[in-house]
Amino acid sequence: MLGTNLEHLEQKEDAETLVNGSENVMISCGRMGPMCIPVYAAMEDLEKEYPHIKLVDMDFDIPAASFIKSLPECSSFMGLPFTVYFKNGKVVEATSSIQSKEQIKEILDHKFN
Amino acid sequence: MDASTTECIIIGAGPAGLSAAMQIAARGHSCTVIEGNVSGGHIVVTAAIMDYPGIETISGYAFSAILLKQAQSNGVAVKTGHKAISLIRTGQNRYTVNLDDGTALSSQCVVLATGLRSVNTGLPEESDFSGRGVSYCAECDGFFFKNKPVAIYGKGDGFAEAVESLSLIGKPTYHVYPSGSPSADATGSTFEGWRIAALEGDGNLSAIHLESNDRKQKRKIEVEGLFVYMGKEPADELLKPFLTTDAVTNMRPLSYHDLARTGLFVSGHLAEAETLIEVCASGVSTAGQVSKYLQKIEKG
Repeated sequence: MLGTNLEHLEQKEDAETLVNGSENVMISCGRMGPMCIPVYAAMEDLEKEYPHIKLVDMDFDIPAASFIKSLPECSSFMGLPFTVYFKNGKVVEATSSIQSKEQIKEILDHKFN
Repeated sequence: MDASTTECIIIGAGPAGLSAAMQIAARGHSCTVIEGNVSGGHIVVTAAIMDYPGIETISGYAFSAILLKQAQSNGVAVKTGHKAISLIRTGQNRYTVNLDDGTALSSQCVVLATGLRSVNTGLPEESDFSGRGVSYCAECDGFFFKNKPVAIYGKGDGFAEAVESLSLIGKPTYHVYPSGSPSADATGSTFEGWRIAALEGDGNLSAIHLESNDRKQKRKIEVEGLFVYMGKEPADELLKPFLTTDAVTNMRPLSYHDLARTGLFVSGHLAEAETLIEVCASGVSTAGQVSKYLQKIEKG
C-alpha cells in the first residue's frame, strides 16, 4: 500500500468496479519515489477542487497493477508513475512519469468538464 | 483589508516558506503563501529524514504534510498551483504579486522562499519524451531500460549513483558531461565538454544528437533512454530585479538586509541555507524579522 492520503486500489476487481461504475476516474499507478510522489501530492491537493472526479492511487508492484500496466495506452511508457484518466469506463488520457499540478489540472479541466 | 490583500505574502511553500508562514501567523499577522506546484518543495520526495532534531525518522511526504497542516492551523492561506509571475514594489510598504491565473495579491511585505529548481536539458522537445525515454531518476525508471542503450547527461545531484545503477542495467551506457573542454574517450562512450543539441524519436526516444562545446564536432547516438542529472539552480527570477536600482527609493540594495528594510525578505535556499534544518531555521528567523517590520509599520 502506498503511503499517501489518497484512496488506494488494491484489487483488480475494485479497479474495474470503480472505473466502470464512475463517470470520471484518475488512477496513478507508481511507487513512493521522487517521480511519483509529486503526482500523488498534486492529486491530494486537487481532491477537494474536483469532487466529481475519483482520484486514487495504486501500487505498481501489486498484481492488481496489471489493470493499468496492460492498457494499450501504457504499452510504450517508460517512466513511473503511469497515470490514467477514465471517463465512463474508457481511457481518455494517459501520462507517464512526473507531472506538475498545473499539467494535471489541465487534463482534468479538459477531459472531465 | 479585502480578500486579495494581506500583511505578508510568502512565495514558495517549501520548508522555509511554510516555517515562516506558521510563525508569522502565530505572531498575529495575516499571511498568504503562493506556490506554483504542490506544497513541500524538494523535501517532499525525500524517502527518509533522519537528522531533524526531535524526530527519529519521517518521510519527506509526511513531513511536508505536517508543515502544511501546522501553517493552515495557524490561519495561513496556502494557494498551491498558482505561480507568481511577477513581483512589483508599488510604494512604501506595498507590494503586488501577479499570478499566472490573471489575479493579483497585495501586501505590506513579501518573503521570497522559492528555493531551488531542477535544471533540465533546455530542449523544447524534452517534455515530449518525458516518460517515453527521458527520465530524471535511474532508481525509479532504470528497470524499463534493461539491456537497452542509455545515456546519462550532466553531473548534478545523484549522478554518481545513477552511473552505478545504470551500468548494471543499460547496455551500452553513454556519459555526456556538458562542462569542460571537448573530448571523447577511446571507446566513444564518454563525452566531456559536449552538450545534447536535440532529441529524436517517433513517440519514444530513439537517439540523441550531441555537439561539442566548441561546435566543431557533432555525433548522433542511438539510445532508448536519457537520464538527466543537471542538478539544481536557485529559483531567483523574482528576486533579481530587486538587486538593481529600486524604483521607489532610487537606491541600489547592497545586501538582503537592505531589501528587508523595504519589506522584501529572502529566506531558505535563496538565503544560502542548505540542510533541511537550516532551511526551516531560516524560515523561522525570517518570521521574526517580518513581525518586527510589520509592528514598526503599524506604529508608524
